[in-house]
Amino acid sequence: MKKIILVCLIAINIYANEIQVFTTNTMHIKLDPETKVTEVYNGTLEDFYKNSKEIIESKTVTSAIANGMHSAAMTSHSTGNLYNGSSIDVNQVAAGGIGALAGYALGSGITWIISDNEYISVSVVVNSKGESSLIQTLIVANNSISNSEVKELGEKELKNLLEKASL
Amino acid sequence: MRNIFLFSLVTIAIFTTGCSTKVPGPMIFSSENNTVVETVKIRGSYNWDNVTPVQNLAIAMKKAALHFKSQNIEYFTFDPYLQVPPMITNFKDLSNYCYPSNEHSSSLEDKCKISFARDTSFKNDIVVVVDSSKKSFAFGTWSVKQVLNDPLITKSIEEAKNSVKTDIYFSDRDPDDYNALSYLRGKEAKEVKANQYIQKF
Repeated sequence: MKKIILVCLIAINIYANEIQVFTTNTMHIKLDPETKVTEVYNGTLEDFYKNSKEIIESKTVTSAIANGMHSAAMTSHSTGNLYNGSSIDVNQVAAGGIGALAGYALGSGITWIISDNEYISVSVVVNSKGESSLIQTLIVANNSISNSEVKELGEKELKNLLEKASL
Repeated sequence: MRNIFLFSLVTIAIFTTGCSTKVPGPMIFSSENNTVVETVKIRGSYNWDNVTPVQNLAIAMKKAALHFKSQNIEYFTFDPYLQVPPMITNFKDLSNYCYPSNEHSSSLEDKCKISFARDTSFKNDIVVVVDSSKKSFAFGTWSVKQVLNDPLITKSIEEAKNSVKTDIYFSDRDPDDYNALSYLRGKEAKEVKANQYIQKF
């Protein structure tokens, strides 16, 4: 009996909640130890898709980019370089926001059913050169998790990325 | 004791069944800065019995990346119909997300609508990649350079090569199969022919 219970407990542990974490750096920028991070969104993927335009164009994002660029310009001896780089966002911000970069829109009404739960944590990062990017962390779990757990996992992933960057 | 046992069973049942969630999809990635430059369909290997879905995926991804490189295209995205979220931008993530049980047993389900037709007369059931050409602030893109230098893709293709037996390989008289498998065996000269599998819509 004890063995059965032990097996059951192990099974519970294995199947309790399996979580996968996937991260992308949208602008493929190089992160460095001086990278500034601003959290933008933690929640379900579904809600993110529904509101992505508002989220990505939100003031939190634009001001994080503007502030990051500003501080990079302040610390940079040659601000000229800042604008010669490939950072598309510099022009976008200069042109009055990142509205033109609107992201997702829901598609043709086709739905698919999955039993796994999907969440996303989104942060704006601005590196010491003033290049900005979104770090989007997709979290897949077989049981539901809370937004604070999503936030925690997103922060952990960012921390790992920044630790790797400082090596 | 029995109560504990029952409790354990019920707990397992609760944890493993879960509730189905309806997810709206597929999403369309729209941006003024991103236009679809080219849409291509890519086939993996034809040797279905020996090549795993992940290996097939690796072959298809390399073919796609080679094609995009030849067109001077640096970044690409998947067709939203494939239901690969845009946060998945490298091969390891793609295989883990689409086939969670690939590396170890997993309680997560297989996802994505990536499949490879066994019957070569069906042209629809193959990997589709949509090129967006430029990277985007709003969503993740795949880097052609990164795909071509991805050690995991190289490793998966090597494994596929090793699992393809020569007799099976040459027994197939279909010229299309011959080209695809020649590519698989790493004959660089045949890579151009392999690109014939990339069919423009």
